Parts: sequence; structure tokens; C-alpha cells
Amino acid sequence: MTTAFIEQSASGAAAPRAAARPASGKPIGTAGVGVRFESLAKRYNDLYAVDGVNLDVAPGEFLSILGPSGSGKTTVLMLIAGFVSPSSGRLLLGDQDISRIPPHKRDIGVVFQNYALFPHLDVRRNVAFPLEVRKVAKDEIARRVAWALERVHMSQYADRRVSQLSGGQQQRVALARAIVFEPRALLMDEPLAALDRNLRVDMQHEIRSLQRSLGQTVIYVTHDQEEALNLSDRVAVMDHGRLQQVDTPKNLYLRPANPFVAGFFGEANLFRGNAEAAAFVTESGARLPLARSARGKAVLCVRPEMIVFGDKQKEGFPSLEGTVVETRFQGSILRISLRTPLGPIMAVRHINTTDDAPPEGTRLTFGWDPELGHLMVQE
Amino acid sequence: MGNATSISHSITDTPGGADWETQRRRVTVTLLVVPIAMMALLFLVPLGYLVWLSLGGPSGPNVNSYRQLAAPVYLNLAYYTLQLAFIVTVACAVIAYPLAYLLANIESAVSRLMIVGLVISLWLSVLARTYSWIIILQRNGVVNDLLQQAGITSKPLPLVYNETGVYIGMIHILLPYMGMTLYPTLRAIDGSLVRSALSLGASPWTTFRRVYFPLSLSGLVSGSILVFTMAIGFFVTPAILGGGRVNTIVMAIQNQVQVLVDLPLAAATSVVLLLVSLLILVVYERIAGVERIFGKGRQ
Repeated sequence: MTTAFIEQSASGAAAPRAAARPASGKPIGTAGVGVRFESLAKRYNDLYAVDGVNLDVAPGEFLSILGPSGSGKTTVLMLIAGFVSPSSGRLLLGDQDISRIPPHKRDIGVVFQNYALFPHLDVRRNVAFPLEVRKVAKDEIARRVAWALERVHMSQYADRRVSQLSGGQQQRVALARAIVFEPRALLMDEPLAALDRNLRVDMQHEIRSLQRSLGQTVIYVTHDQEEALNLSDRVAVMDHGRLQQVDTPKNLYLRPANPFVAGFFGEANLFRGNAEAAAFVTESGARLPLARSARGKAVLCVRPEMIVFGDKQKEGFPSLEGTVVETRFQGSILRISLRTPLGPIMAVRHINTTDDAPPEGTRLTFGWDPELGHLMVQE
Repeated sequence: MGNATSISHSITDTPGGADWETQRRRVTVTLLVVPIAMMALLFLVPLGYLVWLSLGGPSGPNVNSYRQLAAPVYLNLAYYTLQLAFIVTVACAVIAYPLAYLLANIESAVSRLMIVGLVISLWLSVLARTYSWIIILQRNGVVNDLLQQAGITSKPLPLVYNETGVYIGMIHILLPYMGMTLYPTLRAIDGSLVRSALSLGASPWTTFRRVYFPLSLSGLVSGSILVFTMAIGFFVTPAILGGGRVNTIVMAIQNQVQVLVDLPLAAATSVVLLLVSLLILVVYERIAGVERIFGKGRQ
């Protein structure tokens, strides 16, 4: 009972909190450095797990590497941490080439998915571990451990055994252990995957504010789109060992580079066909207006919330017809599935209390602002 | 199936009788009767008989036999036996640890084959394994032939019918027990703990010393207890490979029964051996404190 209460009050302390100032000595916590991937590749036999990745992570940036399982994101993580060495290419930490440097000399804090706390040491000794192996003086260790535990709101648990902590608390300790030795960058491997939803959102917030206040560079590996969008300055989307797109969350949603990225973030109505100057001709022969003229084989992406119906249609919008197949109420929005000559179309509409959902079988005219349609030309 | 049905029937059919809990307790007690009776008959009764015999049997009770055991010859034997068991245990641990480490960490057909080999060697008769060492180690055996052909020695080395032979044989026979106890423990150590230690700046050696080894200690302790207690009571191998030059406490018991025909003395020696083994077990557990290391049972 007591434990549950304390934990709640600790995680509830998300309100602005004065940064912990160590009692004496120089302030702890250094800003991170940049990480640079130069045509980094990892080959297993003839299979590329990671294939020619070029990426620049700025100092102090929060970058997520996002991809489905088997996309190569775990291999990228292992490459950065040094547990796997690249088949070709270089990896730079700041201006130092670390491609061939063993993991224990890289000075990168790693937070693992299963926390990876040492079960035979208590919380304090776990956090002190990276300092002890660096032969830091005893009183300095005590000062820094206190600082790190304070930063993750775990000071009162210093003497607990790891097995006495909840999953969320263990993850906090793992985080403290990864920042206590002032690493040059932080690497996180799905650190919140094992936590339940509410705690996950709390922890996202805390990781983000910790990263901001330290100015630490974070590379965060995840398969959870929402988490990546929520946390990151930029997201690197991976699939089949290649980077699909590296961009801000907003651009990934509104300007996806290819159909994979479009489908990975939220729902998308994708039309395959050819761009012929001012019009896009679908495979079924329909002509849809384009905001900017383009040419060549392409995919047109229209997000469900951009679709408008009937009288909201304006001049220049495509005018299409469809039959309502299903409507589903989802809190603040209504999802409408349509059957159209162009194939199934998904639309969402914000709940408007004055009108009812269109019943199944209703014929509707719909379209969208061509400015909002996103054309992905395929080379 | 039939039993389960009839049990649940009798429960639901009991009109206003015992509830489910009481019924279940009755079934548990009934089922426990047989094993408890077996334990009593096969272990407690003979053990009681042994203690009664050691106290003089029909002519007792007296502690004459125990007084005889205080003689220097028996104390020396006991000391030698403990020393032998200790050295064999340490040697088994030193040899089995890297072996178990390899088996636990290398995923390949070879490692699977090696585990099968380890298990098979446990099935083979100790007698057969002991006698094969005579063939290998004797004056004109394989080892001596090779050593001489390689020019390492000019004369055959005395490798068997002495202490050397006993050590080689006992280590070989007890090694699989250490290996089979260590292997699952090492196998259960989470690889991410090692990776985590490395990423935190610990060199591979420091990682082993401060993370991997402490976590493997529980397996090392149970393996050592197993090997040590088996080594104290070992008879066949020292008797055969020692060629009469190596005497352990168990061989003394055999001598007391067959040559001296002093059953109370033999019984007293056995009781002391049992108590010493128990004591070592308790002390070992206290020192290593396997449970305490992981804080098990503490919530």
C-alpha cells in the first residue's frame, strides 16, 4: 500500500520542479554531442540488416528510430552501442570515429527494454556502478548518485533491492544509471514497452523533460508511432534495413516520402496512378485535380480527416460519389467507411451533435482540398 | 480421468457434509500417506538401526565405538578424505566453469552435441569409467606411449595405482555433475546484464568479475555441494585407481565390516561421516547465502 502511494506521488510530480543542484562541487550533467552515420551497413552473410544508413543527429536532439520488427532498428542500436561492428561505413560520436571502439570505451548511456538492472546490487550500487568502474572518488560517487536518483525521483528508494521495485521504478533507476556518468549520448531501446499505458505517458513526459534539461542527445528506438511522435524532435523511419524518411513528426504525417511511411503513421487513403500535369489519373481511370503539376508514376495520399462531404465541397475539389458501408463512433470522431469506384475510402468527421451519422447505404458526394492531397512521385 | 470424476461426484453429492476445502485436505493427506510411509521405512528405520548399532547394538547403549574413532589413524583418514574431496571439488569447478560458460553462450550444433555427451557420461557405469582409466593411464597405456614417443619422458610415468590416478578418475567422474549444475545457472544469466555492464564502462574482465560471476555463484555453490558430498563418500574409484595406496574414510568402513567384523565401529564411522556432510552443507549454505544474494522470499 505504502509503496503504491509513494510511487503515485513520485510519478505525479510532473509539475515544474526545480532542477536538483548538487550541494557542492561542479554542476553534474553535460550536454550530449552529435552522432553521425556515414553509409553505415551491417551484413549477415548476404543479408543486409542495415543497408547504407546516412544520418546526422544534432547535439541535444531527441531522435527516434522507428520501424516494425525486422526493420533493422535493433541492429542500428547494437551498432551504436558497439555490440555489433559495422560491415562498412563509419559511425561518429562528436568528431571521433567510434566504429571500431569496444562498447565499454564509448561513453554512451544505454537504457534497455528489460531495464537490465543488476539483481545482486541494491539501487544505490546499481547507479554507482558506472562510476565505480571508472574509479571515481568515493565522495564524488555519493554526490553524483544522489543527484541522479533525485533527477528521476527515486531518492527514497536508494537502499531498496531491485526485486522490490515496480517496473516503472526499475526503469527510473536504469535511467539514473545511464545519466550518472555524464555520457556523450543516451541510447534507449524501447524503454517503456513493458509498462502499462498510463505510466508510459508519464514516463514519456519525464524522459523528455530530463533530456531537455540536460541537453542530452537521445537516440530512442521504438516500434510505437505514437511514442515516437510524442517524444521526438525528429523521427527516422526504417524498413527493410533502410531509412525511409527522417523528418519532424508533422512532416512525416503531412508529407510522407513514400506509401510505407504514409501507412505507418495513421490512416491514409492511397491512390495509385500517374501524374499528368495538373491531374492525377488513377489506375481505375478517374481524374483527380492536383495542386501542383507533376509527371510520372505516383501515389496520392489523402488523410481521412481531409475528406469533406456534400455542401462543404468547394470549387476545384474532386467531386466523387460513394456509398456508406459502415460508421463507427470513436469518442470525439466519427469514422465513415465508403465504397467508391476508386476503392474503399476512409473518412473521419468530428462529432457534431446537431446531425446524425449517415445510415448505411447512404449515397454521399465527397472530395478534398487538392492543396491537402500529398503526391508521392515514384522514381 | 475416472478418479477425478468420482472425487468431484462424492463432493457434490455429500449432503450438507464437508465442504470443498475439507474434502481437498482429506485427499491430500490420503495421497501423502504412501510416500511418507516409504520414506520412513526406507530411510528413517535403517538410519535409526545404524545409530542403534553404533551405540553398541544389543550390548549397548555405550559410546565405545565413538571413543575408538578418536584414534589418530581415523582422524588422519578423515582429514585426508576431506582434503581429497576439497581438491576434487575445486578442480571440478575450475574445469567445469569455462566449459559450462561455452555451452551456455555458444549456440551451435557442437554445443548441443557436447551437452548430450555430458548427459551420456552420467548414464555410464562408474565402474566402467574407472576401469577405462587404468587402460589409458597404465605403464604401457595410451598416455605413456604418447609421452614417450613425443620424447617428453624416457620412462613411463606412474599415473595410476596412486594418488594421481585417484584424482584423475574422481575429477573425471564428478565433472559432469558440476557441469550440469552450472550450465542452467549460466544459461539463465540475462545477456542484457552483460551488455548493460559493458555499456556502462566496465571492461570485459570487470564485467565478469562484478556482474557475471556473482550471478553464477548460486550454481557454483550447488554444484560444489553436490560434488563435495559425493566425493566424501566415493568408494569405487579411489579403491580401484589408488591401488591400495590411497585410503579414505569409506574404505575404512569397508575394512571395519569385512576385515575387523566390527559392525558397531563401522556404524559409528558412518554416522560421523553423515553428520560431517550435513554440517558442511549447512555451513556452505550460510556462507554463500544463495537466497540472500537475490533477495528471494523477501517481498
